[in-house]
Amino acid sequence: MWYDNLQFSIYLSEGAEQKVFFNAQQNKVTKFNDGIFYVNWTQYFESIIIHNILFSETAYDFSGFLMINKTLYAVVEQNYIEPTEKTEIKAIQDLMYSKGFSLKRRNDYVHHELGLIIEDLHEENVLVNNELLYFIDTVIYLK
Amino acid sequence: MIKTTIIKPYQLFADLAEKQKKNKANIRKVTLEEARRLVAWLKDTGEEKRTRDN
Repeated sequence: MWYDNLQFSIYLSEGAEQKVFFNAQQNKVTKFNDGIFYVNWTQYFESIIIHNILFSETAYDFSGFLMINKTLYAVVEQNYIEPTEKTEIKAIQDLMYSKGFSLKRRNDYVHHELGLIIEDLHEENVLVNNELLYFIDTVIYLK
Repeated sequence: MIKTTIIKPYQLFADLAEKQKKNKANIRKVTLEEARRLVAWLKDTGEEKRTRDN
């Protein structure tokens, strides 16, 4: 249950809700998420499960929990995607519209029929490799 | 009578996933230093950093 492979020397980046570490040998990233975007851990894991259903090539693999300075983090691994060009917001919008989503507000989309909300789809969370979009960080809620 | 079929969640991005599977071999392995440079390059938008609230 507890993650015990912490190596700060491979720190890569971080956002509002998570720290990202890089495993060059496996070409994977490890993400420590404090769940700040979610009401509770159940909602966080719902988001992870739905992400894995929708985006199988960038699925999260749960590794355990970690406590740092009294903050609890969920640790997940994910395939690393090398960005080959910068992402255009319009490309994300076009794809989301084509899948039946509508814009809720900037970078946040809702699919009314499926009752899905996918948030935080900005250029650093959806990468481009060889003209294909890869959703590497999503915040998903059930409506 | 017209039947409307509601798409299942797992079907939603299935076409994209199929293309991504085919592209898998083209995804290059990078070093930690390259990955850090790519993060910096992605963040260098020339505009103020956005957050979820703005």
